Amino acid sequence: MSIIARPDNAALALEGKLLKGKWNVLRRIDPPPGSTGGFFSIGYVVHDGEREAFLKALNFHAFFALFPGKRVVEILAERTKAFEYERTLLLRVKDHRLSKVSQLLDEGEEIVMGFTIPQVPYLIFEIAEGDIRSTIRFAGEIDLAWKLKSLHDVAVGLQQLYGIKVGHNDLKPSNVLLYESGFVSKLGDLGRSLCSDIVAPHEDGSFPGDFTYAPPEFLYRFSIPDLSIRMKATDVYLFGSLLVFYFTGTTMNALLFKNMNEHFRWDRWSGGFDPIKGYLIDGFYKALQEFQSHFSDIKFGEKLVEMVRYCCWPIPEQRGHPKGLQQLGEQYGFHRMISQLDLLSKKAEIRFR
Amino acid sequence: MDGIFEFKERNVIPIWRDFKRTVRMGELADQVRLSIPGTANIGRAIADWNIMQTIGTAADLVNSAYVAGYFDRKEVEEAIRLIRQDKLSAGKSLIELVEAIENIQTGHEEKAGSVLLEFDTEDVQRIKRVFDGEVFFRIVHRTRELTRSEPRNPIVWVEMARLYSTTNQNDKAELAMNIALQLAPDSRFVLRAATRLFVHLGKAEKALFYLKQSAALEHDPWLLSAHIATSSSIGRFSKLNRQGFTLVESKNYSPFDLTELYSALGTLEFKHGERKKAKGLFNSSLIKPNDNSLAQLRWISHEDHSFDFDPFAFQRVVNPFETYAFEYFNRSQWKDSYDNSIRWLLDTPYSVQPAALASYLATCILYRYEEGIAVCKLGLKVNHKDPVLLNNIVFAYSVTGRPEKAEYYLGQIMGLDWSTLESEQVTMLTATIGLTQMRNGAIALGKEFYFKALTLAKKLPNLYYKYMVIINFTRELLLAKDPDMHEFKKEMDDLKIESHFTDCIFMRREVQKLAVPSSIK
Repeated sequence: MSIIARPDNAALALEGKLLKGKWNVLRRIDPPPGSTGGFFSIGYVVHDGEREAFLKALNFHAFFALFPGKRVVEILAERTKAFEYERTLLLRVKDHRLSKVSQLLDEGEEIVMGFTIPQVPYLIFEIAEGDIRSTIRFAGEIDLAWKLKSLHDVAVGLQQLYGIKVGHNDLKPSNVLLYESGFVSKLGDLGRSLCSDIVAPHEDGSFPGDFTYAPPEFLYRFSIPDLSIRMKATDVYLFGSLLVFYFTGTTMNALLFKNMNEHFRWDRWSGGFDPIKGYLIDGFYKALQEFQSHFSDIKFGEKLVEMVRYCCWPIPEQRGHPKGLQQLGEQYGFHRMISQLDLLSKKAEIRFR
Repeated sequence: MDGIFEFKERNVIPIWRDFKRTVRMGELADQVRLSIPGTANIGRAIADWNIMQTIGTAADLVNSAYVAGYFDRKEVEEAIRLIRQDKLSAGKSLIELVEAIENIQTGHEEKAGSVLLEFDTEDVQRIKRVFDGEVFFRIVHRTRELTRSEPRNPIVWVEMARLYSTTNQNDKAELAMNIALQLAPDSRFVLRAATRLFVHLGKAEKALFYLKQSAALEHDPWLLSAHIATSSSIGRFSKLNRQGFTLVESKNYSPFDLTELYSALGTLEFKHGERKKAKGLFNSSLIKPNDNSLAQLRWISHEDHSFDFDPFAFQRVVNPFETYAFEYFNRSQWKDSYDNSIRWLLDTPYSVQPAALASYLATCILYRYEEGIAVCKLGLKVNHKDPVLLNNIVFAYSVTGRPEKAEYYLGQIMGLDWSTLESEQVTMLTATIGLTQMRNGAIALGKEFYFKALTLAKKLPNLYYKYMVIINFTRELLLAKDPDMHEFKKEMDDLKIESHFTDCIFMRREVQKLAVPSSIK
């Protein structure tokens, strides 16, 4: 008889359990789509008798591995705080019935005896079919209507979050989740979001999300002090960059990097944000030209290029719709993008019908 | 060399090139390599790739790797392979991104050579066709279009200013530069270009104003040197001199970043008679010089021979044309001097100095009159009242028997405000008027002008002008077979020309050949 050592991790031991007398934990899936780094959470498919759902269990062990030497109590306190923050935001989303943000169906904490840390906090979401990376293609225009509709949903989701004072701030392809056979896109993972009336545990003025997607100001070590402006300016950039990704397979950061001389790239520049602005703008215009070259229908492309131009403008204070710049509180709003994308997606539908 | 084309005074005012070349020269770079700020890592993208291999996850991973600079993971290579294999789904940009990564991996990114020119040719007629014709206008048109499509791009406005400046549209150049300064008041490229333009327009105070406005000034050696040099050019004391010394002593900057600052401070010390200090500073400027600091020391060494150095020892300097043009001149290597002055002209087409030197060499030394005329015309586009260029073109047309063409430019010379001209220029122009008259057969009148020029030349402290007037006058007397030719020939032969007046020595020899009886020739 051989004995297989069981890992001392309660989050891995949920399979087969009934949670809150309602959710049957069916099987483990790895990693959960649209969660802050699959490493830090463990995913399961659960069922409540009516529908399947996705359970995201907090994996304390991953943090112990990531921060060896750090006190366990400290990690537990930090992670619990972060989990609690995400839970609060998700409950707010649920309360406001935001249609384009992945919905929290339930949440709780399971005690699994026999482990050093028996507590397993979890969140249960509506289950996604995947994220956009599972289906997207970058060449050709067959998916044009779908892409525009998906981007429209994303913009609505971001606007809905603004309505409850939340900035997503980690928008990237893996966080755009697909539902209803891919017809509906929703924002997933609020784990790195910021909120203007609740202090996020990770709020320190820096970019909270995946740094390879960060707006250029952060890459050049600049951050707008006002949280509310910063989080909105960030989301607008990330949205523009996502739009670029949908059509080219490259992010705005990659296009910027490619279109700037190596001397001015963020891994070389130490001269601060103000002196780089001129070169950054020059690189940005070149990146826009590259983006524009993707569209065979110039007029159609122009609308999207225009949107990227004001969404991804490298200077955060000047970012946003040009008309919004003159209206207080409107600069970083998504209303105009939503209308424009709605119109464009309808046109594209007619074109390819 | 002490010709009219030599700088009376030289300061390390920034050299203004197009953006692309300025970048490649390394003047705009930070010399310190940094790690990417924050916590960029591609662990998440790699984990996702390991679970699902689609064009979407491949794109996600490759983008993250490119931005974070992590290429050496096998997963990144796998993703690249998938993109390469599935071109139908990947699209143009993604494939280009993969190529960009491969270029970085193989070290194929663009590097600067020792020559960086927009057009690299020694064919003056071709250069003239470029500047006169469709090519130049196409560049102007394209740049103007860019100012419309990219109205908030300061770089484009600087380029526009440069093109305007090259065609003597100075008001428009200034306006374009003002816009660039509004858009990027802290940009090193914009501020240095603006400094050069404003100094060129005689508005050094304005250059100082914008430099002073910039928060970057006190910590940027490239801006600080521009401020010190500009102040020095108008005889003003820069309050930032001390800051300049602090910076060079701080050890926070690379020798290349400091080269112009060392040079500017060295020039200051030189002007104050502090030769020892100046030498130390110039030596430091040579640790890693650029074309400007090299040219500055070349000029200083011309002013004071105790600063002698070998300019050709600095092979890694990009575009050292000014230095080489003068140095070859001093060594009587006329063709090399000419080629470098042409390249200097191509490098800084808004400047009349290289055109003055090139046209002098073409017309007086190399007898390439048509090229000399073409160069003069190019230079006159930048400054249609430049007395040296007007002089050279009149000379070229006169000695090639085209008085009617010389007449037009002679009219321009007569229209100059002579009271504003330097004594050397008045001497030179007076002699050239004498030449035109003698070539037209008005020998007596021509001689009168030459005598007048000689009187003026003798009053000048620099003997070069006296020698030149005598040599040129003797040649004209010999050609006209004037009875005075013997007297002047003797005077010319007896001249004890110092060895550094290489062009005088060459020209005297040429005139002496004229005097040899035709039977011996």
